[in-house]
Amino acid sequence: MKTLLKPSDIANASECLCHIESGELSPLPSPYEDFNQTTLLPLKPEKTKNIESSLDDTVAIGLPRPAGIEEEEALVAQFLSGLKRLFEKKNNWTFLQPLMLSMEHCARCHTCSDACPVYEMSGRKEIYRPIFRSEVLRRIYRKYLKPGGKITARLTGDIDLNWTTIARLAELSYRCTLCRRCATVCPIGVDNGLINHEIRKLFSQEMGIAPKELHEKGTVQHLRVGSTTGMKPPAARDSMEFIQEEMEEITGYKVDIPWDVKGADILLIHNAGEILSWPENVGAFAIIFQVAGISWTLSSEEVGYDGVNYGLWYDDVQLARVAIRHAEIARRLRVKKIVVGECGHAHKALTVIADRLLSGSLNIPRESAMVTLENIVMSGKLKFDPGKNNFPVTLHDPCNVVRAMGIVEPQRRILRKIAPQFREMTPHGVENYCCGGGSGFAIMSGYNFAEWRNLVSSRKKFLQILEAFRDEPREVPKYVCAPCSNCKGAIRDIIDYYHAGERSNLYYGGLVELVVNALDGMKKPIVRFGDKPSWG
Amino acid sequence: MTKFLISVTVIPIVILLALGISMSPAMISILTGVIPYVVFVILLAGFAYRIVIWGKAPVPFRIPTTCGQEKSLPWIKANPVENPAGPPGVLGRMAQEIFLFRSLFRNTSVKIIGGRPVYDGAKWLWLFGLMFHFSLLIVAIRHLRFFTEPVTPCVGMVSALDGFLEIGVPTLYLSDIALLAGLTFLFLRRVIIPQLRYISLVTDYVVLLLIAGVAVTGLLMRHFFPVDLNALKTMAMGWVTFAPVASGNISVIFYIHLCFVFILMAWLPFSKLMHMGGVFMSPARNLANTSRMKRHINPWNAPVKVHTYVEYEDEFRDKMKAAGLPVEKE
Repeated sequence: MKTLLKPSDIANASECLCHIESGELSPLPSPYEDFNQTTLLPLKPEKTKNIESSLDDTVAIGLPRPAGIEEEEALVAQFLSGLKRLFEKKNNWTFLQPLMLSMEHCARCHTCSDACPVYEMSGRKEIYRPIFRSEVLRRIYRKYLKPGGKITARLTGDIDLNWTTIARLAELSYRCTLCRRCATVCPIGVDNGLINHEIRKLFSQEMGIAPKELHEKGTVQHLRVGSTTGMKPPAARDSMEFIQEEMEEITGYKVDIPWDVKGADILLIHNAGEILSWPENVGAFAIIFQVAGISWTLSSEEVGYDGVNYGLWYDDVQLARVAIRHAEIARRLRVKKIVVGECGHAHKALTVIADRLLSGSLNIPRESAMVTLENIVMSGKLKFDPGKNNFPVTLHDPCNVVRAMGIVEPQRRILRKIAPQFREMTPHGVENYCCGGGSGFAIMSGYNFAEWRNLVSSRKKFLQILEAFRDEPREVPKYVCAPCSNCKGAIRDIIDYYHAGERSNLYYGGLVELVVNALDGMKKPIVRFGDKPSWG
Repeated sequence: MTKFLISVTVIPIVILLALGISMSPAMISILTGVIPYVVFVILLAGFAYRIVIWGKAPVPFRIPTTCGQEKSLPWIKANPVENPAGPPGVLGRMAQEIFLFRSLFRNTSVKIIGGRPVYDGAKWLWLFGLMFHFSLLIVAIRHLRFFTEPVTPCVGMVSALDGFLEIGVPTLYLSDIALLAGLTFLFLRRVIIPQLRYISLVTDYVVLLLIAGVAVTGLLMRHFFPVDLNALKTMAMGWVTFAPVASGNISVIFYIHLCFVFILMAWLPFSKLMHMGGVFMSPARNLANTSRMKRHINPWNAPVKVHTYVEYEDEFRDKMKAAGLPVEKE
């Protein structure tokens, strides 16, 4: 039997702490058996020459290697002082209590591991277990910050703190999608997802270490240019005009997309990724709101047309900066409320976490699009012909909307009304599995990270999707409804990577597209399967 | 395996310690007259200290894990316990957590059977965990007969129920069987499952061994090496009335029992056994999920002097206009 990796092994320098051998990943059913031997190829040495890459077969951050031993020691000291600050009320009030509890009362009962899709799909690689990184942090905390820790470390779990430990821990914090599935099964409420978030925060806030997709090209670009996509306001306006024309061409229904309308009831904030990659989603929202006669607007101001808030995943300060910009824009437009479009993490960032930041006139009500849409669809104002959606549909539950916030039913009620062949995945609702693209993974694709995501973290979702459509013949087109841009991105990549379009006739999209597809008054279908229209 | 071997040494150490104590009347009187108070003070003070430290940590966000639909529009069926919207729901949820180990019951395992994944409940840990914790509680309640005079009626009832099978003389208690079964399961699991074995620390084993030591010596006293119960009762009543009495030499096995108990009690506040108190504090469970319903003002922020934009504009409106800057209110 192979010996299992232990948390203390993270400190022992080696080329690669954990390598997934060919055939170790959880097997896929027919017709995808040819992927069963696929595994990550080691990165070429010239690519990883100057970066830390000794955790596993992929790289998320790409930490530059320190020049010498002094620099390494300085970084270790920086880490320790950051860790100390993480446990001080003054410096970290956001998630201090659950962090402290977990450091001190985890009973090591091993329940969380089976809940983790990354661990399960990776062929149960030890380093991906929810408790692995928590245990590493716990040991460092006890040994180096608690009085007498160096003496008791023999009894309470030893670990060496050196640059290898830290570099690997930083990378390892980007192997968990923060889906919090493990937290729901913990008998004493320890939240390993949250601890992982705190580790990321420590690296970002105290050491300036974060993947460039989240930081430089993420929140920093968002605040500077206006969008994480790099789209500036004039480009956003152009895109909205383009979408407006396009929608008439696609559906035969003339829609006006209002922007910067002062005093509108609703400010709709999309993930700007929708504007670029899934314009039908933006258009479908516009059609629904117009048919329902709702007073609404988009914003073309910097930051206002991009509802994402990557800070949620790694940095409280960046989160606050972005959230305040969103609220300021809504205040200036004097809207009655903000509705967050189909973007999971924006839901949680702006409605739950930002609540403590928005004082006085910035405290504008914020609501999920799922609820707004449910209200519209069930109001009876809109007429539907569900027969137009007569194809198999399954629903993906975005973790931030469903498990983290508890918005479970509205989207289902809509689907039950408009999609006659709707079926659930197993398990679903609050027990759903992450798409594998959570916490920024869907936009991270440096080195071979995208391949790691497709092979490991998204694998469970792929299996679930295949299972939901198991009894459907291959040639029937199938629709995965994923009301979250991030999840859609991950599912798009799964379909591409495994050629599931050709092999299983698998398609994906949001919720509003299905609503518009079944809406009376549309001359042509908005949902298309490749070249084929879904009806007519 | 070395971790386990190290932890096993705790057993002979405690036994030797107790043997040593039983040799000398002076040591016995310290063990039965002074140590109980010292241990009790450590337990209470340590426990309180832990709880206060945790309690003082800010919990600004409503971050409960949501295990059902949250309270929403009136026609959407909410799940008031799995996703509580207020104190009654939280109470229900916490009661389920504490008395039924609700979250542990959620645990599932996946097996690939016939090429398709089959999801199945993984309930063994839940069953044995529940058995173990409940039997500990019952054993603790039964022990109250030593500390109350007249014995609290419910204690007698619990004992009667616990021994209703009436096997052997004195009657075998069901909770003792359950306790040993639970302990054995928790222990074997930790030793046999490789993934569990390597995250197990010396302290994880020691906790189990100490409880086992207490349980086994207790059972030995009850069923094989009877001790003078009257002398025990007199001594225990002496403790609770703050008038410790010299008890004479009761029995070696009793002193071993006592040593295990005292070590366990004194160490409890510093160990993972604090999950006893921590489970009540966990924000993943004890908060109502009202993020979208209520405004939560953060009470932990240092006071910040704010100068809002509206005030700013009021102050500088004329200057702004003069400089040609746009203003919101004319």
